[in-house]
Amino acid sequence: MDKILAAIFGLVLFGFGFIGKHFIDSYNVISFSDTINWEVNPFGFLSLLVTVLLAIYVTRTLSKKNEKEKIESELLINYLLQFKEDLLNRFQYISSQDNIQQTKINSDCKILRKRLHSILELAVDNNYIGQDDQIINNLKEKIREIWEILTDTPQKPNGKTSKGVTDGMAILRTDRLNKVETSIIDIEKLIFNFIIKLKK
Amino acid sequence: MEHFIKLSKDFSIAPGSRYPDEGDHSGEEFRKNLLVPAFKKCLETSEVLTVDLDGTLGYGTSFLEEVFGGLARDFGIQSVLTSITIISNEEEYLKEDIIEYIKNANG
Repeated sequence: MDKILAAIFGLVLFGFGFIGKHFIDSYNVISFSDTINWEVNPFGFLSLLVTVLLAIYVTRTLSKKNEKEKIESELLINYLLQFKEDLLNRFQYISSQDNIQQTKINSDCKILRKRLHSILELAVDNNYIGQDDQIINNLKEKIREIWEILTDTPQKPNGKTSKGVTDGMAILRTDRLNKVETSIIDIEKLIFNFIIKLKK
Repeated sequence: MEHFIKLSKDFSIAPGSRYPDEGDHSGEEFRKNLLVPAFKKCLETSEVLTVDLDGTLGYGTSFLEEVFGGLARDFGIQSVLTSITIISNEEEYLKEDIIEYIKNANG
């Protein structure tokens, strides 16, 4: 449909040009020759060639490259948003339980940490962010912090065991959950900054 | 003879917490029953012990600290650092965590 409209528009434009030429010839001292001079100027030809090649380069190569980069950064942003959603969902489930199997927490932490590291690796490998960028280090550190808060039980003080985990069930105290929540807020901020960086 | 422990196969796919009274498959249980005997053999023969961490549901901090930090408390930090190789392709970053636990182990 667009092509047909463009063709009609082209024809109308040509028509206007044709009528315009006759109009100018009739009412103006300026006149257009009816013959075309076929002389070739080598510099003009070279300039034309360069212009054509540039047009091809811009439309094909550059726009393709830009399109590819745009798709990649959009994908990365989606991964980051999905990760954030996953993090919130898993934490919501964990915090809603009075006690929860330690292996379930271990498993959730493994998936979250692995997922974040994979996304960051993709971003670094595709040169969207530097390996030593502060955002990368902070995100890794924050997810590690969550893993430590949720899965750490202290060493026995004077032979007494911690009752953070009993019979494989973890009892998560409010202060621990609060710490995790704070880390999640920090992660959200970092993800926001990361997305802004990717959009630039 | 190759000294190799694959945790998911030789111990459990669902490692637990730090101590046996915190639940099944604890770090202490793994260290005492599997790691220490294998590590002693390696020290006798001056060979390296390889521990493969892949294939489990995931590890807790206390499990890893108890296993590797505990080993360093028993045998010394340097001895553990030079005689153990960790395989962790699924979670590459665990290697760094473990090295940290070993280095920070206090006896």
